[in-house]
Amino acid sequence: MSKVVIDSMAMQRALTRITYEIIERNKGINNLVLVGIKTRGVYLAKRIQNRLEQLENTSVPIVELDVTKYRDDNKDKEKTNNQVAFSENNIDINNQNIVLIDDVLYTGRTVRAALGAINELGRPNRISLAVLIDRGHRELPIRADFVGKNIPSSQKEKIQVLVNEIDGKDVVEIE
Amino acid sequence: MDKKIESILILGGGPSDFGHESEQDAAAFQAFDIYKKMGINIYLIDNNPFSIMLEKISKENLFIKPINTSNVENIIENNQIDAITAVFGGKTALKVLGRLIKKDIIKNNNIKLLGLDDNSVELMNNNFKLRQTLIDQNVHIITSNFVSNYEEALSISNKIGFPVSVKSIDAKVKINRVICKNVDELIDAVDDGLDKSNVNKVSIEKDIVGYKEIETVTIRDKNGNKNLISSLENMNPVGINSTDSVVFSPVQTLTDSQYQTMRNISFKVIEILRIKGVCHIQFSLNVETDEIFVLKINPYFNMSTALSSNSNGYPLEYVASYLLLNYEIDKIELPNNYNKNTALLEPISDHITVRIPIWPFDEFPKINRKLSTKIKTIGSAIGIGRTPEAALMKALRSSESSPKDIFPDYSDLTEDEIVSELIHPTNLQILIIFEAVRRKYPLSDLTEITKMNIFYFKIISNIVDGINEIRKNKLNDNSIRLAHKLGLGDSILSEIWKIDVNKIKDISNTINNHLTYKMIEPSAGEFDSQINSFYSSYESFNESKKEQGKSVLIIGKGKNNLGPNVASDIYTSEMSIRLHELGFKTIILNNNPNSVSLSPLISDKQYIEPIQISDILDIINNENPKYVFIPGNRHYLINSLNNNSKINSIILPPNQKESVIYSEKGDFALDYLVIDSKIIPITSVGFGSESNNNSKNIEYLTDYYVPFNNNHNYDLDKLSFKAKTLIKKENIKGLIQVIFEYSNGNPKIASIRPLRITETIFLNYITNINWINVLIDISINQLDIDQLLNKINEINNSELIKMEGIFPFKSLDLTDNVLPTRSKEIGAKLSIKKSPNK
Amino acid sequence: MKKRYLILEDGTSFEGVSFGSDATKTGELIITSNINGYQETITNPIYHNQIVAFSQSSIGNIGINRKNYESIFSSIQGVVVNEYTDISINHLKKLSLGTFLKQREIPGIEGIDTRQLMKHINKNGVMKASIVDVNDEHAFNQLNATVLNNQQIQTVAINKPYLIPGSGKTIIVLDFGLKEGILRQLSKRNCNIVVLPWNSAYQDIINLDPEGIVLSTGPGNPLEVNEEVLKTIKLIQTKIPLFAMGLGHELFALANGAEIIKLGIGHHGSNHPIKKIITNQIIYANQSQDFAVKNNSTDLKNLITTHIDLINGTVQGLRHREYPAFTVQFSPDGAAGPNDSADIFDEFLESINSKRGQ
Repeated sequence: MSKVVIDSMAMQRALTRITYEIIERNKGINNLVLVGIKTRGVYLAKRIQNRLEQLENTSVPIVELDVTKYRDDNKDKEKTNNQVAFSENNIDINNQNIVLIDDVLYTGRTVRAALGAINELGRPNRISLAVLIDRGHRELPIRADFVGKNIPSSQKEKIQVLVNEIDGKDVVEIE
Repeated sequence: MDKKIESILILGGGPSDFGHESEQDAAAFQAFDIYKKMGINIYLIDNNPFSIMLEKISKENLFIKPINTSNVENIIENNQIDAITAVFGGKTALKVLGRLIKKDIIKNNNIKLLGLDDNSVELMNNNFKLRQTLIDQNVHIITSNFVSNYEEALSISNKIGFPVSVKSIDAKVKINRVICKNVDELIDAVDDGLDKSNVNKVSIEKDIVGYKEIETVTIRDKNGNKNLISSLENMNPVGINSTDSVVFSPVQTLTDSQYQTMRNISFKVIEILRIKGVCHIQFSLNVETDEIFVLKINPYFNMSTALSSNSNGYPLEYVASYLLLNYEIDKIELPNNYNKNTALLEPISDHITVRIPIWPFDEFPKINRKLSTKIKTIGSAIGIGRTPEAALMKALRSSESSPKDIFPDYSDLTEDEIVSELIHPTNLQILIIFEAVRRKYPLSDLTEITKMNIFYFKIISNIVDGINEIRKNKLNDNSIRLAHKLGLGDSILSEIWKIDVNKIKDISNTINNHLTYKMIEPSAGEFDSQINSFYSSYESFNESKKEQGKSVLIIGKGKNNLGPNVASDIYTSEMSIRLHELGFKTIILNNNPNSVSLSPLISDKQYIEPIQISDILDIINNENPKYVFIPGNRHYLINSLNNNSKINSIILPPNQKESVIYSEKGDFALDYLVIDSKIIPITSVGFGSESNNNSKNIEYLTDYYVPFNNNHNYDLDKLSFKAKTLIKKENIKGLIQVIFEYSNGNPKIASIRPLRITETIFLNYITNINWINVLIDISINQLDIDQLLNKINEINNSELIKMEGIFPFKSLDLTDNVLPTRSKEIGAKLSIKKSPNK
Repeated sequence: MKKRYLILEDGTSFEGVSFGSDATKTGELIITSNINGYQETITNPIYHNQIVAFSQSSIGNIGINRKNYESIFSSIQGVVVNEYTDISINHLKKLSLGTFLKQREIPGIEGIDTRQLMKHINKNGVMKASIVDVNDEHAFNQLNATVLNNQQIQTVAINKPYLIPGSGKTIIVLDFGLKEGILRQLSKRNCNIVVLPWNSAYQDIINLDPEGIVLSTGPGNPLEVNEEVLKTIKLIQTKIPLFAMGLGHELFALANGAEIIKLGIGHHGSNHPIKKIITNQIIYANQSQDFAVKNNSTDLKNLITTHIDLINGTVQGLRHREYPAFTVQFSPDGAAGPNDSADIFDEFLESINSKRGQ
């Protein structure tokens, strides 16, 4: 049986709050670049981008990131070596403030991979991390700056973030 | 990006029936007007002859066929259809759409669904799935629980709480639900139910009889923005079909938190179904606990959506037509006469609308008049007033044409009879309540007996007290003021005091008690707009300015009943459209919320008022129209109008009294237009009968087909010569039908009559000539006869077209000994065959 | 059936019939277009010293109910309706709207063409009015001479703190004349609520170590509120997540350098679409508004406009750029009115969580 832990309203609210917090802590949206981690992180990033644009009338650049080849559990290095990690390679991230966006923060290994990928692209001024769900059980010293909701979960449980764009509904379920 | 929609197939509403008059036709007509202006090609499938759409849509785009899967599939295969919608067709259309989706017809033809997506169409057609979805989303519904032993029954009952209702599943004999208030009653009911069940099962539901029944109409755009368009409150609690209940709008006896809960649930449901457009939802409310249950979801135009837009002036059909096409609600541009923000404003009213049901029981003396969950209403009328009393009284006045009939005398009823009527209400319910209040039954007792809110008894008691005052103080200034405040109208005053209506109006004017018309608009006076719909009150400011230039007043048919009512409404609408084309400002008086003729597209101005002589005189006084047009035979009205005003009134079609009748029988007929000295043949019509009783009395002939199937090879030219000679001799003019009967194997003339309304509309379709326009043109001497003759020459009888009456007997549980007659028709259907003759 | 008059400052007079008390009272006339909830409206302290007219045509239909108070007292100056319906459905069947008003010496007048009144006020602007026995020159002179009390907050707000215990977050509510709806929303979310007087000092607030602070709605003119209050707000917003409504929102705006104007035509009702800018959603909420934050007067470096009334363009919500502090002009708790935006209280509590998580 899966249980709804965040409904669509709460998800909307969390993204709204994270958006405002990004403005608060970044002192505006100058030099801001959003990096959405595939798959669902990208959609969340897009929603934050939309929100920022609604508020400030400026479109913040957004980059999609596929971290597969940077993962420490990637066993197929050969095959993935030629994969393109970023959807946008021309973007200059030097001295920019990057907000890395993902749906769930768990062991921290995905984020580590993302940091590695970003590192290859340039030297940003700062990288912060926004996640919809922080479920604990970190295996690396990584901490989110913006959190939709902390859900202290058991490792046996499965947390699933569904987004309207691909899943037809906005909901976070725990199984 | 989406492909632009260039063509839409509208699934129509089918023939009028219980719970369905012209409201979907009216909505479709508005959408059609909008889409046409956008350059969208509209196709329609429908077989209701009494539809404004049939007249307005081009023949190539019109499919006169029953709305079923194979017919629609056929249209889709043979035409370029980009999108399809069921929201103008209701339940049947939704079912058909559901089947088309299942068969992948929609997908394979790359057709877009408007209003509801395939998932929500599926939910609307699959009650089990819908219920499960609602439960999953925490929307409260009344669930049925099936149990096969007493222990389960008890456990369920404890969970949902007593009282519960128990019903045997697949019962061996016909038995009703049993309401159980406690465990003892449950034991008996379950034992009995299981015993009588073929499958050893009973269903257990929460008993909601007595809960308040309330309704909402909401809209939603593709972005999920929602607006509560109106709220409706049934006077009767759950247990009586809401169409059979007097309805108040907006709701009158809800606390704010109940109202907001209802609003929230409405929004939740419309969001779950992701409706783009309109949705009507019915609820039951437990006033003890404030719990609200969803009873029924209707995601299409229906009588309640029609009531909403007529009662508060929100351009619901207009806005929803855009929402269907994926417009965002803040991007919809309204016609100029609306305040530009109107679409976005949540409508509020500073008046009250009451809808009163009309039952066809007078036609059927033996019918079971008890009201239940089964719909028996055939029509309805609304009253709009500034106070609940006025709204109720105006609705009552709209439900009867003569003021004499509004308060029949029930003083001979015994106490027992009254109480029994109150407990088991019939169509007389509201009048019985008046009688009970007159007899000074304590209002709290009445509430106890009927489970109706005390508010209703309070306002009825205000009316009863008022009438007593008025009786006591004849011609007194205050009596007149009071009567006006209560919405009694001068007709009733005139009846009570036995004094001429005009005398009362004179006094009223001298005491500075003026009639004012107030705009029916959705901001309660906050914003200026020029919406052209009005109701009357007696206050300080008249908002309805006289129409500039020459105007006509058209007196609509009002409430629907059996017989040619829906047709009359189409007739009224056609008249208005034509008169507008001829340069008149058209003003329509009507009070049937389901009519097409009240649609803002039909006339320049609408008055929603009782159709009684005093109300008509008031409008004439305010507008000073050049002509008053009266569609249909309404002797009482016509007589009183002629007695009371010097107005130029025109009755169309002409009075049936002008008929020349030799015999009441008929087998076929020839239709003519008689103008000046010309007698122009139009077509032949064959008659048939629904019943096989062999009576050829024309009253029983309810099927018509064209052309007449001349099996016996009569010499029609010869018959026509005879007919013309007789017409000339009798000097009858207009649209005329000469009826023939077979007499000893030979046809002979039985009667000459003005063509009836239903057949005139049928004739429009057959001939592709708008005969109502022709009659209007003749009546004001503007007919272009040559053009008409050309059109008559073009009449092409290559098809066999049939119009058959539809009757309500089965739905009313009338099985034996009722013969279908013209006056008992509830609707009609058209069908077309390629003519076998040619 | 006592004949009485509603007279307006501009010389207009409406004849009607008395219900409730026969007292003669004067106040600023406002018209609410809310469809339901007359009891909530007349007990909302925001209408202190005002005469409340209803555009909804029939008022009194459900009597007075134990659950529908927005404050125990009603300090309005009068009730103007088109038609009053005398119904009591409370436990003892004794308390109709009329008796309620009578007990509180509030006059009611019915039989007024409230639609015409609405049009008149919308054309001529907000004005003073009286409910009187005779509409002679003397009455008008009296009306014009009346200077309305500007000590509204002092009159309706508490002057001693109280606690509404809860197991959740400790929230301080500064009472500027609050309506119960605010407390109800916080209680529903298990908050441990401390209600403090509107003029509580910064240090007294901080000493209670609250997790969030709420500035309540209230009556009157924000420009007449003590400067000290603005200073307190300015300090506190840097320390504790803040949420404000109505008058609280106006004061927050003032504290952060925005201008406040008195609206020519106030808006009292729930029919206006309000756009939530960040998501482009349209919501409806109860607005009881005679003042507004002047458009474009907000220092963009400090504040973000978060909500806007799509009809009259007024600012309906603000948020501080640097602190978790946000406000709305309307009443998100509804009562009377929609609760489309009630989850703004969740947003507030979630922003406290987030702040705590840092």
